[in-house]
Amino acid sequence: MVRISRGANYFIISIYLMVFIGLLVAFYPKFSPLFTGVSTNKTSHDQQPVSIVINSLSFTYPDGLDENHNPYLTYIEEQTGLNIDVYMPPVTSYENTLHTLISSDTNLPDMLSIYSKVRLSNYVQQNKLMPLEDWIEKYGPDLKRVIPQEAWEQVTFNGHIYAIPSSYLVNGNELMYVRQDWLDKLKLPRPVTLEDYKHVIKAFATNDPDGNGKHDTYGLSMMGGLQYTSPLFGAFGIQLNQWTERGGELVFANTLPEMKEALAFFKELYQEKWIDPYFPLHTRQTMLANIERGKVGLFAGAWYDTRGAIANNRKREPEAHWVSLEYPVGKQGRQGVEGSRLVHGYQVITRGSERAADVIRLLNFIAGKGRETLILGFEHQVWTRKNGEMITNFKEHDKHLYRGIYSSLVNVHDPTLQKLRLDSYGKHYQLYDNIQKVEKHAVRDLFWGPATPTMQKKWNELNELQYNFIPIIVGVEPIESFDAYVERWNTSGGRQITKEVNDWYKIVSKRIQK
Amino acid sequence: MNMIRYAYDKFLQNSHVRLTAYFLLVLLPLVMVSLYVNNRANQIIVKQANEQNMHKLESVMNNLELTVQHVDVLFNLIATNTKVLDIMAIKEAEMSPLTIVKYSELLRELGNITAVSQVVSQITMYHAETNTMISTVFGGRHVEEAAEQTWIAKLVAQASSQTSVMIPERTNGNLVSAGQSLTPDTLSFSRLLDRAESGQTPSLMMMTLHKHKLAAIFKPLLTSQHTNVVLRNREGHVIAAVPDTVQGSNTKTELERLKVSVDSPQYAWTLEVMQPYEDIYEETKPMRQYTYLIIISSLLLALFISWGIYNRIAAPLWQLTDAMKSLIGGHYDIQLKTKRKDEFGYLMHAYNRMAAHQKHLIQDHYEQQLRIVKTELSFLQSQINPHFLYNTLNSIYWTAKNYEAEEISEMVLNLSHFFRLSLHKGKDTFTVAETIEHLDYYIRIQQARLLDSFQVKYKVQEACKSISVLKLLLQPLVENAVIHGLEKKQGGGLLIVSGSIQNGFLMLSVQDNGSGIQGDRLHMIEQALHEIAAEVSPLSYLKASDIGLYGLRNVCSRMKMYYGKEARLICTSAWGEGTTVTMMLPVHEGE
Repeated sequence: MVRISRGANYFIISIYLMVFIGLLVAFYPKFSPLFTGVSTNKTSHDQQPVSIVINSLSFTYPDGLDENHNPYLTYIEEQTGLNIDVYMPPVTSYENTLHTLISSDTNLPDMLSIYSKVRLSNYVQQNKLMPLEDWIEKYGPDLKRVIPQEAWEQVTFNGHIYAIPSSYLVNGNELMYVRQDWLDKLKLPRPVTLEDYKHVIKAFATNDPDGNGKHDTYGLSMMGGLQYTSPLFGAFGIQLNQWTERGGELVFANTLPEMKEALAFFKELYQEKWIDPYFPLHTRQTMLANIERGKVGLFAGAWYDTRGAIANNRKREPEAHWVSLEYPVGKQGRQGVEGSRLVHGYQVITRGSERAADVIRLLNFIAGKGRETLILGFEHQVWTRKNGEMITNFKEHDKHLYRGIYSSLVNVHDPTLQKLRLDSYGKHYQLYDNIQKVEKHAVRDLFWGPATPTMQKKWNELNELQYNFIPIIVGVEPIESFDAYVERWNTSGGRQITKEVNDWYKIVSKRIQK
Repeated sequence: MNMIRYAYDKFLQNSHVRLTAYFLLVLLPLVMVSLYVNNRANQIIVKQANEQNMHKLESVMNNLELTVQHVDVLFNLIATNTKVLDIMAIKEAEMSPLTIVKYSELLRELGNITAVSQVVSQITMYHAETNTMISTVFGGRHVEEAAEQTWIAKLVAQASSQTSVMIPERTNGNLVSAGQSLTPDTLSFSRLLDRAESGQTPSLMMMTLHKHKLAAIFKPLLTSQHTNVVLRNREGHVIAAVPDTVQGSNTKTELERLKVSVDSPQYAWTLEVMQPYEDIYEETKPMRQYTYLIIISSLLLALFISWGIYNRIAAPLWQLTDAMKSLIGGHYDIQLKTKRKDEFGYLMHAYNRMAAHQKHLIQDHYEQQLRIVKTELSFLQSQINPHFLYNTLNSIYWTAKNYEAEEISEMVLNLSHFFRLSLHKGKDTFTVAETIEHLDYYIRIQQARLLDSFQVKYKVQEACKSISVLKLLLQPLVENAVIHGLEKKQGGGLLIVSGSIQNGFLMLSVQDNGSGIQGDRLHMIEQALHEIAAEVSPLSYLKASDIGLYGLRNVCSRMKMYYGKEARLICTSAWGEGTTVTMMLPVHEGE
């Protein structure tokens, strides 16, 4: 019979002990996942999500990605430990969709991104929003740091802060761009005054600047809501939908006689068919598509359109040569472009939300630690640092432009970062110079206070009246119906509102003078 | 067969193998039961998942249908909207400014509808008469490019005046045509606008559900990462799928997924959900793992018990058996080493003590007997002082010679010679010739005693004269023959001493024609001789015996001791005729 040596005995005993201990461990609940492979870890995706409703800003996404699945959202989620659920209503009826959302009592999201001051006041009055100052104290140190006091004042009602204000990146948006090659072809000088502009527009529309023998070009294009027109209005000394000062008092620009002149100007352009006749049906995409296809020679584009629509047009037509012009000078040397309001977006939290802390942490992150990455893109992927300068990879940058939907939730005016970034896009685009031009002539809305009581009731209705401008321009209504518009505006509450605005103005200007 | 036989033998011979086998036998049904339970649990879970999915599918289907009804309502809203009807009545080739204004107003209306509905993300209308397309996302314009026109025409052809689902196209090219994108992760519906006048090409309405909404509808079905939900029409084409897969880009095959589907009675579509079995079994996975763990550990336990039994019980027993075998074989020095303090320890120690005791017993006994013999021998020897004997015999001889007593001097001479040869120092063996010479002296003395009443004859072969034999073997036999056989005879007694070699044996015999031995006594003699021959302990002749036969037993014992088993002493006799005692001594060549 085989005799087992002592060594073998010990060996077998040790094996048995190990198995025994292994069994103990395996059955101990804490360690059992190692064996069963069932994870008891809670990943961030098992957490209750923070639901936010934001504007899609018409950005597109690469294949396979969307607003809820992309590397930048993942970056935010990882850094904050939150699980974020993004809902983006359609752009064209954004405010209304939000209004419906917030009016229902069930399924309220945690955070909403609204752009209307009036609606903000409405919701505060209706008690639909949560006061945020405590949360900001606890979780929003970066928010407190980067947002100026003025901006906080705009969102404070009765001593409570009801929104996180988002500012602008650039003060003002639009520049006049013209196709130099068409100017050269038609032997025209660069337009300076409004009359020059009219002349150029006429030439572009009638003299076949693209030389294809067809009558298919236009001198000007804009959007259905009269966006992309502010430099032209600026030549008349006013801007659409702004409060401006006349004789020490604030007046709504839409009701001024200068507005009538501006409308007459556009009407003439339209009647002569120098403007794209379909402009009332144009969304931004359609309008820019026309530019890309070489149908339009002059337009008031955004400061970044040199890299956008203009660049695309140059890809199709390499001989196209776009330059930016000085703003058209009108009578009495008036010039101007719509300036951005200090606060242009409001992030609000619904009253019943249980995740207010998480929302504030999210916004704090966007304003603080995450700001650089969200605005610039991932370092080493979108941009790199070389000899102290920033170099941007445009393909990646354009692929991930959608990250703007997150960064714009807390826009902060930061000139240094901006110059660095803009230069990195390519000095030949002259983006920084463009911005300088814009900011030089930006005309701000002089009423930046909270919505007055009558405003809260009537402002939306009054805004609708603005759509009367389109029939006037298009020619369906005569120019005289502008007066009827002004009358209706005044009687439907406009006069009352003007009074309230001026009351505010008196208090504020006294404070400024001090 | 041999293997089975071998195994069976092993089974019988080793108690620990047997015990282990029994243990495993008991384990076997337990293992089977637990495996069966596992299997059953899996089956039950699958069945439940099936039912659950079925329920969920039905409610999701309901939800979907409700949504479609909602879309239907919206279509109706649009179809009865005055602005829409107004616009649809327009029959211009080019859009007049008024028309443009109307269209822009319509766009705002459609935008409002999407705002209120919360479900629809995009509404598109195509006015066939004016070849205009308006969309809440892309505004309004003519349909210019030929590719778009064919695409629109196709859509119009596919649509009906009932709300119908649009099927995403599996084209390689742009799925975004005229602003309407058809991807599998959204759901789009189309409907023709009812025409009041016949003969006119109908206009088309299209609505796309918000991706979010669709995902929310399907969410209850997506219980795990790998679950797929697919909505198909009656022909099997994919209408919508979450996650977004139009093609079958599944990594798992059909067999590995549980497929549950439900048909909609109202609309011509089927909703399927496919869940991988792995995910279904996920819940019971820990239990299965535990079961396997338990089975394995039970097996290990069985093996451990087997080893334990072997180590603690069988092995010591084998050790003990081996030791006993050696003890039987004559190794008295075996000592078992053990440190155990239990029954086996006690047994081992007891065995050691027994073996030691045995050893002592044997040694002591032997030693004692040897001492006894030595004592007797030395006592005997002390009784005979050769010098004294010789001197006395010499004196007697010369005295007898002086008195010219020839018979006395001759007898004394023979006696002297006899004793000298008997007490010959050192040698154990004499040759046969020397033995006969020695014997002769003795016989002459006896003859002189018995007044020559008998004669002696020597028949010794030449060949055996030089063979060495143990001393003093024949002399007691002759003594017996004379005393018991020839003394009583009055005359004519004959003693024959013969020696020959036969079959490798030296045959020495002493024959007399005396009275012989009676039957019982002969029998008794034979028995005694046989006893001596059979005795393991060769010193048994020292045993006190009441039958005499001292000389015969001495010879036999000494012969056996010296020559071993092969030597034999045979005694034959016939009453009244004589006795023959023969010694057969093994002889080796060259001795």
